[in-house]
Amino acid sequence: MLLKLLFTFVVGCPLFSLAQQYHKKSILLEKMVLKDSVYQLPLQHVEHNSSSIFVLDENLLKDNQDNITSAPLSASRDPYKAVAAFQFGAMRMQSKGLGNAYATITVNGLPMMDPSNGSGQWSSWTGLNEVFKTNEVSSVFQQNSYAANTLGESANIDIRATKQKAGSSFGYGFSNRLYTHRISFTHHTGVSLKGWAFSMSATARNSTQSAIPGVANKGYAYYFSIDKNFLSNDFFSLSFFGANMQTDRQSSILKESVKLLNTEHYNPSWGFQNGRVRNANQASTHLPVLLMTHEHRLSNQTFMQTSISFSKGMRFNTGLDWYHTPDPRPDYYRYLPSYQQDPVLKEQETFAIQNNTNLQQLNWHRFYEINNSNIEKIDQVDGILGNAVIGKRARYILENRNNAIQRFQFATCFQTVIGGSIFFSTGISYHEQNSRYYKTVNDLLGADFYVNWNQFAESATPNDPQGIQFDVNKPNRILGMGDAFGYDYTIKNRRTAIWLQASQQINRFGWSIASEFSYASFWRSGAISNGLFPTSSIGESQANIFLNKGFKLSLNYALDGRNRVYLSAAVKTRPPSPDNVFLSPRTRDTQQDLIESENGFIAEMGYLLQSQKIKCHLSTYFLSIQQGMDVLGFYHDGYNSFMNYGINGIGQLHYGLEFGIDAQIFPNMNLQAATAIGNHVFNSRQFAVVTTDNTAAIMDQLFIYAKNYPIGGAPQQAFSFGFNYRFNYRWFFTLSTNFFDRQFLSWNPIRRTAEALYPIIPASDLGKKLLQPERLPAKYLVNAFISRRIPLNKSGSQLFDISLSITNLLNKQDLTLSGYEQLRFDFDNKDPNKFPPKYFYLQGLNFLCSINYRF
Amino acid sequence: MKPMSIFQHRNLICLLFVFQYLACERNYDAPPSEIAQALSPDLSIKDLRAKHVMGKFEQLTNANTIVGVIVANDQSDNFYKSIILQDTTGGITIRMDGIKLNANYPIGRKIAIHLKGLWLGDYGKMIQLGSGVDLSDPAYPSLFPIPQTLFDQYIIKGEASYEPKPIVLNVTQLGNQYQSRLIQLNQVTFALSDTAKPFADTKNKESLNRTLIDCNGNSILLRTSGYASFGGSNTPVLLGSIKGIYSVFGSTKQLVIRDLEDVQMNQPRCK
Repeated sequence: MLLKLLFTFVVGCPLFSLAQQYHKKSILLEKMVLKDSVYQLPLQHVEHNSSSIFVLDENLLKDNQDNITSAPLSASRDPYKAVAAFQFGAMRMQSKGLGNAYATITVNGLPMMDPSNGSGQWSSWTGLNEVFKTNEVSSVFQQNSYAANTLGESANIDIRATKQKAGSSFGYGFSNRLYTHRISFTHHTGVSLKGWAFSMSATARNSTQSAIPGVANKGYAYYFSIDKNFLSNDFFSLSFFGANMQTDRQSSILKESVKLLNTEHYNPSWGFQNGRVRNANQASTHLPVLLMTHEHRLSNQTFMQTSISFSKGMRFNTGLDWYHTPDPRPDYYRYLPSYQQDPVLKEQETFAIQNNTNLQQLNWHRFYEINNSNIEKIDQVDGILGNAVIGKRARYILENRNNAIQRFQFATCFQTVIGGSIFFSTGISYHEQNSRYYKTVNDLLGADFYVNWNQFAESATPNDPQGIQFDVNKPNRILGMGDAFGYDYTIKNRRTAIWLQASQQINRFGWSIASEFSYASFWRSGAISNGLFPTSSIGESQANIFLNKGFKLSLNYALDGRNRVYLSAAVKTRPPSPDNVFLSPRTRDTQQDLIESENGFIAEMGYLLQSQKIKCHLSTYFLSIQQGMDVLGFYHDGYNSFMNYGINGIGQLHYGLEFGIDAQIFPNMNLQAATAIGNHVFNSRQFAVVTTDNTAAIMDQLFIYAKNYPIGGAPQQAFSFGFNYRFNYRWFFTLSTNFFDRQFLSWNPIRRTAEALYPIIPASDLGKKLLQPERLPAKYLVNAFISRRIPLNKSGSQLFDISLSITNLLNKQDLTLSGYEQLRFDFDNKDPNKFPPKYFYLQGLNFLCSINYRF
Repeated sequence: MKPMSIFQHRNLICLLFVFQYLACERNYDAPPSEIAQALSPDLSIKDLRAKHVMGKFEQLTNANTIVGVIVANDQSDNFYKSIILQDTTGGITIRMDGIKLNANYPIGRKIAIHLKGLWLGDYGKMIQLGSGVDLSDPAYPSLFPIPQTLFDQYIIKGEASYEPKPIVLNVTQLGNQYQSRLIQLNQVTFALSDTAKPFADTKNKESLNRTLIDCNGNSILLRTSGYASFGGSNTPVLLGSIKGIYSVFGSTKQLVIRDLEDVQMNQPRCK
């Protein structure tokens, strides 16, 4: 009984995580386009950055939404989180404005985090929702036995065959979202008399025609698990799972394009090739995981669990690369009517674009034609005198930007109850990850070869013929299909952590503490000697070592059996990600000068009501994250060169309140409402060191006047109001209206510097226009859900489960999901509209209809 | 070390091919050529040039087409935002608002230009084709270049071929009828004060004029852009032939080369 109470009362405040999520996300996005006008097409949705404990990647969110909602909300579910996950998640909102780099997701007790960005390794199991359910989320009521949650939340997923409920299911889904058809099959044997259990699940999905033009996706996912349980209380489990996903990307777009083409769903990243849609920006991921788990139970209250996993796989994005040829992007600023000064030409261009698909989309035929007519001779191929190659040299290619990942992970944890009332758990973990980054030629687009030269170095080192060589040991290398080229380096991460936590409930009063210590290191290992930096591009860099800690204390007090109040505070330090330390890892191992861990603090106070008819949760939070780091790279119109900005001292302050209620107003009807009112701002003046990408010369050191600027990205305020109606335990309806506000563009820090602004006076009209980040309009979103359960036998063990979920029921087309200011800035004329912001828009009415047969 | 046998190589290559085939999608066919095979003019460049009155601007309202071969572009950045087109009757400069024009419009490619809607004008008596008149500086109206978005509306690409033979002339024969045409001068050399000097000031990105003289003392300027990729090279000392596009600035005769291949000077200077 006491234990149960303990479990119930242990306060693990739902501290969400990472302060910088949205800002950072946008920057990460920008980072992909780092070479703004040159390396690739504009920003894409990045699926792996949008995950959190609840809101996984977009696909998963939508799947989850349906799966979870169809199972009537369980009693332990937090009324705020329930609404936030389903309703606020559509706008990518995350609790307290934080992302997931402070969160911990464990699978069979093994932390499954990607050390390069701190997010969960969702891509390994996307689509396997039948098995991978995050039902052990730490919350005010539960402490995760497998990880300490100091600042941030943790959740465990148990995928052992033993833990799956025996039975089978077959499912089919039909949707106009990222995929059209989806089939799944899951079978769990349950535990046999001899202690064996077997479990499997597989899904496949594809999109035949998507509501988003130019986007077709396909993928499959698999999971197998075999368990053997011994009477000696030893449980062995072996699991193997993975997901292979191929997705086409949708690019962010300009308001000018929206107006020009009269649609918010314009996607410039595809074009017709022989009448077929071809998207230049595809993402592909496959990271299978082999996971072994052993659990030894000493008693009902005491166990020890150890897991080891190996994972090896690949993700890559495709993109266009081009050399001495016009920019292939149809919405490149010079191609748009706004670039024309003359009204007649403006009108002619408008008419031309509106009536010619080739001007709206990628013109693949043109790329082939240009490649076909470009005969060139390359001398001294591979550095060999007299070794010349003549042929069609590609001016456009489609390249793969590959990231090959290898992981080894180990974790063990021990849990017991001391003195009958103190819940205690502890564990250690080790994580080793090597991420290799390199490029390969995906398609020469009709040409015979491409040359391994760094075109951006051409102007930087006109007198140094070695400068343009991506590989000085094999100069002038000729590239065919599939050949590796450009950069090739590996970021090596090692992380060891130890944690412990304890909690106790004494009558009405409860306490809990958690602490963790970790040792993390990462370094760069270059495999190629680059012509610009022959020595610093190759070999192992010096390792960055971080010792980090986290600590949390929380107290709670039960006013009576239903009402509780709680208070908690936590501190945590976290190492920066390698992305924010290395200035230009593709060419060299140069790092920021000052490298420090991020420093987080959170305090939360809350009230909980849990009765038969009403569940309510009100909390207020104050969160500060200091000493954040970032690296931005982009084409700088002032220096006429690619520049890297190494940014230090990013400070954030988030405070606000969250409230959720789930009240039974009629026997079959519940009201569900929630609100999040946040104010999330940067609270420090950031410091940037500006270096030239091609020479590593430090050009400037300056302040970014970011203090009190809002954090851009998702809305900071949201309200949701909805009803659900249950009938006969067979029908279930939900209808909810959501309102979002206080959403800002992810603004460009470069514009908030004296360098960019001078000599414009900040208080002048232009000054204000340059400095004030755009606030996106408030918006409504109406969502609905219907499910029908048809039992086929009396026990209900065989049944059909049919559901329909509809998002954006009012079919509003012009709802911005997010937006960002381009990093490229018009330093000469200070015109904020020369490189205007880009936006993502929400899809209009979208639905998923699914039918599940369980037997 | 024992060299790897051919057989081993072949296995390896086969294996690679199989892997590639399995790993990548090869569903995208190479598209058919978008090049128009037959282009037919109904106006000669000479007749087009005849429509222009120096110092004025004329809009072309008839649906005429000229066809010619490209003889110069921005390959070496000595020409900027323009290509030079010639047929057997004459040549003309086409102002185009794009960079890396040589990708679409390589030297030797045949193209057709639909003239309706375009404008004729001149810059220092050098006749040009553009898409409008820029009056932003009323004292010096100029032609708008054709916007990149409208290239395909006006310009039809034909087959790529070799550049035509230059017209061999004497300096004294040069006149406006040779504007924007590929010409060749034989037996010329750089004036002594202009030998072994860079073609252009690449450091300050400024154009420079160098004087070419023939053995009779007739001269013409060679003008080179500060952005030209060969601008930092030195002018030759010896005598020989030079190819280039004939241009004028007012009454000044100029020659503009495409690259250093155009300069073949390796005979002794005349006395």
